[in-house]
This record gives sequence, C-alpha cells and structure tokens, in this order.
Amino acid sequence: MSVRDQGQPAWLVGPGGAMAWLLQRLSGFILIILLATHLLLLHYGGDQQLVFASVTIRLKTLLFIIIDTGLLALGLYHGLNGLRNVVLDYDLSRRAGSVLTTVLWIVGIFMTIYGATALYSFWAGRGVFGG
Amino acid sequence: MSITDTKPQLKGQNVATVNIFRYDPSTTDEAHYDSWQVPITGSMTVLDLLFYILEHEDGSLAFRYACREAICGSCALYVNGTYRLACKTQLKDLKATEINISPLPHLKVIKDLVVDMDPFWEKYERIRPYLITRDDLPEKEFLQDPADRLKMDDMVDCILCGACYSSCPQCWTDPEYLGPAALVKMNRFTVDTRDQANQERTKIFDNEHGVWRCHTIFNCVEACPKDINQTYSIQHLKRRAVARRFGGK
Ligand code: SF4
Ligand code: FES
Repeated sequence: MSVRDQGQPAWLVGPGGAMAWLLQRLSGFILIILLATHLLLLHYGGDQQLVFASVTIRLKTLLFIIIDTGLLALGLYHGLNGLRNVVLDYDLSRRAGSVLTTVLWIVGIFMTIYGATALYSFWAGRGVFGG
Repeated sequence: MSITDTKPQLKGQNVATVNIFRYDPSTTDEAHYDSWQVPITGSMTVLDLLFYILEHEDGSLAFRYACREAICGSCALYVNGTYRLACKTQLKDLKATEINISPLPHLKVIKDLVVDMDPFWEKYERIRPYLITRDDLPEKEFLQDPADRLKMDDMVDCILCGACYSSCPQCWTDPEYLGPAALVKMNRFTVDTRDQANQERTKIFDNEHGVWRCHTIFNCVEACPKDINQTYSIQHLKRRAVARRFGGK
C-alpha cells in the first residue's frame, strides 16, 4: 500500500484508469484510420503481388513502415488494455492488479520491439533472413 | 376464518397461472417454484396478485412493498424475464397467461422474494449521497438556477429499487463495484452547483471499482423502472475524471 493510500478503505483502489480509458478511445480511433490506410495501400498501392520482391519494396517504403509501426504499437496497446479491463472485472486485489498491469506493459513493449525488428529490417538495408 | 373460506371462486373469470420463487432457509436449502391459478381482474397489478396469494393461498409468502405507488422502490422483482416494480406493473401489460415471479437476480435471497440489499446500500453510502458544502451556510435556503436544476433532472428520479444493481454484470463479478444507482447519485451531486466536494467525490468514482468498471453494457438502462439513463451519468463522470487529469474542476 502506498503512502497516499493510507487511511483509505480497501475498496478505494485509485487513482483509477482515466488515462487508460482516454488512450483506449484515442488508440481505437487512430487504429480505424491506420487500418483503412493499411488495407488501401495493400490493395491499391504499388505492386500488389504477394511475392518476396514486392513485399521487400513495400517494407522499404517509409510511409508503409510508419503506418504499420503505428498499427503494431496501438493494436497491442488497445488489445492488451482491453485484456487488462476484462481481468480487472474480476475483483483482483490491489497487488494483483498492479502485477497484471506491469506484466502486460512488459509483454506489450517486448512484442512491439519484436514486431518492429521485422518491419525495419529492410529499411535498415538488411533482409530479415540476412539477404 | 381459514384461508380457504374466503377464497373467491374461479368460475367464469380470467385465470392466470402464477409461478413464484420459493425459498425458506429455515426449512430447506432447496429453492423451488410454487404454482397457483389466480383469477385476474382488469387493473390488477403484480403486487395485488401477491396479496391475493398471501390472503387466499399461502400466508407464508414473503415479499417487500411499502408505498404501492412506485415511489419507495421496495417492490422491484423479476417478472416474466424483466425487471419490474410489482406495484406499478399491471397484469394486462404483461400480455401473458403464465406469470413467473422471481426475486431480484444475483442478490442473496433471504426468503422467497425478499433479497439482501445490504451490498447495494453499502455502495450507496460510499458515495456520500448528500450535499457537502465548505462555505458558510446561507441564511435562508440555497438558491439554485432552474437551468442548473434541470441538469440533474434525470438523476433525482431514482427510487433506489436496486433493479439496475441486480442487472449489472459488473456488480456480479466485482463485489466492490459501486454500481449504477450509486453512480447516478454521484453524478447528481457532481453536477449540483451547490455541492463543494468535487475533489473527494472524484477520488471515489475515479477508481478501479468506480466508473472504470462500467463497459456501457446498458443492462441498467433497460432494467430501470423509472427510465433513468444510468450509462449517461457514468459516462459523464468518466469525462469529468479525464478533465480533472488535465486540470479541469
Ligand atoms: S437508477 Fe433506476 S433501476 Fe437503479 S435504483 Fe434507481 S430507479 Fe432503480
Ligand atoms: S411498493 Fe413502493 S415502489 Fe412498489
């Protein structure tokens, strides 16, 4: 229990999720735009063949990389925060709640970095498979 | 005079089959439904029907009521799959010849149709459901602008029947969640221009067991016999909590 919480009844677990709630809405809104752009680019932009060469070209396009990094990071935030909300619905203890939040942040950051390495490998001039 | 002596004859009358949830912990651990045939008259309400059974069929039936005019909130029940005030619901509006009456779901049953409302009242107390002022009290009454009074029009109609609390999935899974009725009352005081306890109030609702547990499921709105929009109040409190993070009042 932190100093701030001393003297408060146990049910008063706070401060609550105002920022998480706001970011969930903002990320949701931005995700819709990014997803639409992503789909449009895939279907109508450049060479649409699903072959290694055209995928390589796409992954060397800065705009595509930026959009997909956004999709990756915001999609993970939105999904994991959604998961956190579902689990918190089951009256976790204060401690379990903080552990859950920390674990989800670590998972999210790890997965963002892991996904980004694939997205950036061609931009950095190296193929994913060393090519 | 025994109960059966006064029992009216069913001949030539409209009759409904009434199934009522029964549970008496002093005699058995098992709950069951009892069925009766009850003569129906034009403007008969669900509460009248319960009285009919109490007087003519089974004097041990337990149910709550007080005002009989949809104002005290004691008689909320689950009737044919919907939340209803027994005193306000006329049988003809149910449009059914079979009537199933159960206590408010997801609350502990004390006996028959009477449930334990303690968790509901405890949450209600937590939000400090009264006006809090810091300045000196005015000489006479507090004056309020009609436009400001209008802002809490929806919320002051709550009769604390508990239907919304019983219907809310968040209240089922998180026993500490404040629940729709308490949050409606909270909103009523945060929009009240005379109330001066915004800071303390925010702490109570901007809380993991407060507004953030509401996922706008709208069960409460559907259940409310007073047509109150609880979800609106809860969303309003959420926006207020966010505004406070950015320095709003
Ligand atoms: S908000 Fe409606 S359903 Fe909830 S306690 Fe008040 S009157 Fe009953
Ligand atoms: S008896 Fe008071 S609301 Fe029904």
